[in-house]
Amino acid sequence: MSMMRKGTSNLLIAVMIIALVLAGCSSNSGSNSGSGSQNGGTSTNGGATEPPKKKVEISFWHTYGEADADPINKVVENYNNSQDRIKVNILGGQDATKQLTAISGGAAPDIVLTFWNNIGPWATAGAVMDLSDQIAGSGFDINGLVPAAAERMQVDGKYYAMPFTMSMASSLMYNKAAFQEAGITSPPETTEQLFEYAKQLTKKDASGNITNIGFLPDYPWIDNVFWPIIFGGSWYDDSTGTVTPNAEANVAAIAYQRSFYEEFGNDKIEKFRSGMGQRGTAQDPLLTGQLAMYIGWEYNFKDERAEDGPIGVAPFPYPADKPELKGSGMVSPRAVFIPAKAKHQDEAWEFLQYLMSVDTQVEFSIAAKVIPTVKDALDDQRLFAEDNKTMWSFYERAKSENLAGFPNSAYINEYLQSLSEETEKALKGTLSPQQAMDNVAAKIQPLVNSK
Amino acid sequence: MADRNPNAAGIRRRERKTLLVGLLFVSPWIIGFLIFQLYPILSSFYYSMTNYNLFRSPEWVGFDNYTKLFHDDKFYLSLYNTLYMTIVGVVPHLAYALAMALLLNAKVKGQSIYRTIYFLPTLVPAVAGSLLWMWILNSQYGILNMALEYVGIAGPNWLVSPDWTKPSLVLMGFWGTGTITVMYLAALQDVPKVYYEAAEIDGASRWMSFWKITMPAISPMTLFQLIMMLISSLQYFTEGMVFAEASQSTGGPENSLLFYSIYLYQQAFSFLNMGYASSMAWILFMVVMVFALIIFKTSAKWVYYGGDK
Amino acid sequence: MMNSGSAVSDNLLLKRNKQKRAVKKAVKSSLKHAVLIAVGFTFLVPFAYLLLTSVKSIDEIFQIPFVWWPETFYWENYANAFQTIPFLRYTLNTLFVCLLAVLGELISAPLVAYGLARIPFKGRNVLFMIIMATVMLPAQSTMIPLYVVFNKLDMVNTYWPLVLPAYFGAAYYIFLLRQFFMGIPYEITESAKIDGASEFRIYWQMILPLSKPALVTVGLLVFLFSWKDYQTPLIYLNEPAKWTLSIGLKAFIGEYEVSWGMLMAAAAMFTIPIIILYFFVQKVFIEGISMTGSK
Repeated sequence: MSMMRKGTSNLLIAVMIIALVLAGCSSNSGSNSGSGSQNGGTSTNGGATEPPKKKVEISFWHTYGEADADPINKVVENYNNSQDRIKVNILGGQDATKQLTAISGGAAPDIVLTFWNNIGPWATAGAVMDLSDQIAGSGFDINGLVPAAAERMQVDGKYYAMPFTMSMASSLMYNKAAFQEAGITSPPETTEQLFEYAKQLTKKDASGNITNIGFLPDYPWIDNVFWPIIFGGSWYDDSTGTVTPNAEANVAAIAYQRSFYEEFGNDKIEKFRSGMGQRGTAQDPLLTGQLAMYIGWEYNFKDERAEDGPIGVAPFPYPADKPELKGSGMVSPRAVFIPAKAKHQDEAWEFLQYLMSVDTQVEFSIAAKVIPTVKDALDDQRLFAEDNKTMWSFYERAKSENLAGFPNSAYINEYLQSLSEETEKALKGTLSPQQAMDNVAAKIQPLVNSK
Repeated sequence: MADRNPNAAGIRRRERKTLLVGLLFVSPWIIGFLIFQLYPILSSFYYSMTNYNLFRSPEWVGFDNYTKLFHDDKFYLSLYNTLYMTIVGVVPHLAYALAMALLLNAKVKGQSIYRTIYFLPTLVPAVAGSLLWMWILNSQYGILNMALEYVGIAGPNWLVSPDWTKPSLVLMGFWGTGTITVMYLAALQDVPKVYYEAAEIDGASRWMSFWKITMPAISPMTLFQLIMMLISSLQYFTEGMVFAEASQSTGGPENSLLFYSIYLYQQAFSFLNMGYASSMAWILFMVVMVFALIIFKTSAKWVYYGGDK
Repeated sequence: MMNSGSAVSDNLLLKRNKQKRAVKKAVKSSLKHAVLIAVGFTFLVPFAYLLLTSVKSIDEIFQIPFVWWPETFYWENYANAFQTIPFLRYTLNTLFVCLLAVLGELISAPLVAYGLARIPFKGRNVLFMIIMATVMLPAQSTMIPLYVVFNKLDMVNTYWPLVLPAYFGAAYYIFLLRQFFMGIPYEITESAKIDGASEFRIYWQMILPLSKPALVTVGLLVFLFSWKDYQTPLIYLNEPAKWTLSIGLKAFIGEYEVSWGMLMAAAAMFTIPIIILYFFVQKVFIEGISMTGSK
């Protein structure tokens, strides 16, 4: 007994030691050289002979995971190969927590890609470099950018970041077969038509449970930015310095969403929701027809929305009494910024300009199937290759002047959170849309005044 | 042996020597504390009395954060959600883990295999495990509701209904009690078999020997588990976040998943109110401290250390 | 009393009682088996779900109605997962960190626990409460100042923050071992003390050997925690070459969709080393030394 025990524990110890040595040897080359922080390190440590012009290494952090990182890796590779002065070290999977911790903790990278709603709080807090001087100094054409995207990078009128790429929700995607079955020949043009068609496309079973639904305003999530834009609402009045979530148009947007819940019933919708197929798979509700219409982003159903495919794409409807709002939609960009404490700000700015160049924008957009934010890029012929056909209409729609987004500010996250919570209550019917939005105003206005 | 006075000095000397030796043994922790913990803890306390957005210098506000906290609805809501997990979760999970350990301690064929099976779930990292369970709990095509349907019960909307989101997490918690079972197994090993034999001779039933022998013998472990589970449930974070993220909101359906640590995290990293978040941290600290002290104080009554019999 | 007749019937009675007891034992044992199997089943099901999902293609995974056994075994998930992230590298990194952490805790935690459990020095209880108090503060509030500390020590982007604190003792394991040590009867060590043995000798030559199950448990738990840790490696490691497996797993959780098949395959591969470790290690529990029982 004890002999065996000794044997096993000896074996275990042996295995552990071998593994330790193996791992240590192979990781040693990596870990020990990290004694000086990797961030923004200057050229090679150790006795390399200095080249005449010192090559500056800058660190670039982004949020893409390994699965989606190929396009951005290519961009960096191209940049590094195209010139000799700056080497960009790229690091992916860096979420907002990590970014914040490193910047606040004193080890900021040189240039960072993050979600646009971080710019408001981080810039106001002093973490982000104001790009006004750089823009003026290099003659960067800020007007060459899609206005809705560029605006998201502003806080108090100053630009703190560049929109590297943008996501856009301004289309209605629909299941062609469902339309045919219901006898609908063309997609709805107004929001009133959308509501009517939704009713026509909804089917129920013998016990009154919904089996197919025409449209759900809060699928796959409550979108508190998209809807007010469609109705022409806004969130902040510069002239009075007040937040306006409870303005007429905003409240109308909430009321419109609520009308679906009133029509189909809270419980029935909840029951139906729980049975919806998994988004993004073969059982996606729009593909199977469980859902007939859907708020479309440029990354939805990229293949299925081909001309002969099962999914159709159309501009999102506008309120019948506001035809000037045609082509409205929301824009959600990715922001690239330079931390205020970055060690190599000039080099970072050079790289940032490269990221915003037409060539880079076009190549990245084709590789990642996203929308460029530089207007000239939107017209570039390369985007209109045959195999990129499903993106064409999106490039066109990206030029619409009615594209807008949520204003960036120090309190943007509290604002969005509050909107989410109150809208949920309004949709469920616990509060009237007006009450819900008044709550938001009451909650957020003090923040505006203090921050 | 001699008269008292020399003894008194001797006692004091011995006490000092014991103190020195004791401190020597504890010195690793003390040094580690001084290097890695003192500054962060003091900073956090300092921040709680300031407005601090992580980048600009903190500005002193005294107890403002604390007063604001007591007027914050979400403070109370998140505290409630967290206490729910603690009160509803800790004892059942503990009892379950102990029951498993007792079962696995018995000499049954294939013991090693069973023990490995029970331990398996703890090997799955929190995020992957939570995702897996979200799948299982899906009210339409998740296997849990499918199984319930099989026996004629209509399963609830586990992940969407605000009344069922926390119970879902408690349910998932049972699956991950493997580490506690492992620790109880180790504790059970140390219970002297002589006691059981003596009890059997005296004619005690299995039930009696469980309560009179086993429970007291493993009470040091039970104390440990109670305290640690209390602390970890009051700091519940990762699983709650994964569940909530799936419903595309930080707090889940009607904020039913807004746990204290999650709200704290939101305040610190999303709203950049590090000062406010720090005050939340210290309030929680006090809550935990109170609970823990109560448990420790009462522990003298039900915990038996083998040293004294 | 002792004539042949009743002796025979006595024997018969004995035999029947023996049989009764044997039957009782068999019933009890099969009952135990039944419960173990039933509960084991419910524990295994989610894990089986994980394994089965890892060999299904994306369409089969979400098929309605649900399909348990895949039509075709889609082993590509494993190959793809293996190629998407540098699996071997991450595994080695993680092993490195885990083993160092285990070593550190096994050196420091028992020492501190011994002091708290077996040396009656003044202020011991207060010190113990302070140690416990340090874990009661949520980590989110001390994360950034701690980062500042490591940054000042030039340890960012190294493995030091993941490993070094273990060499000073974590409160969790200190508490655990303290409980174990306090359970060892004083008689055992009293005689050694009277003979003039130093505390350290008692610690090293008596207490530690008696605590094998506890120490093995701590080793296992430290290894497990370190293996699964995601937050700390993410915060401190700035080079993909240094990343650990838990960060690697995140790669399958994409922006817009989760690569379920590969994620489950990766998760399965993630757990295999520990399963092996655990299988070997838990034998120690079976053969653990029972304190006064074996004396």
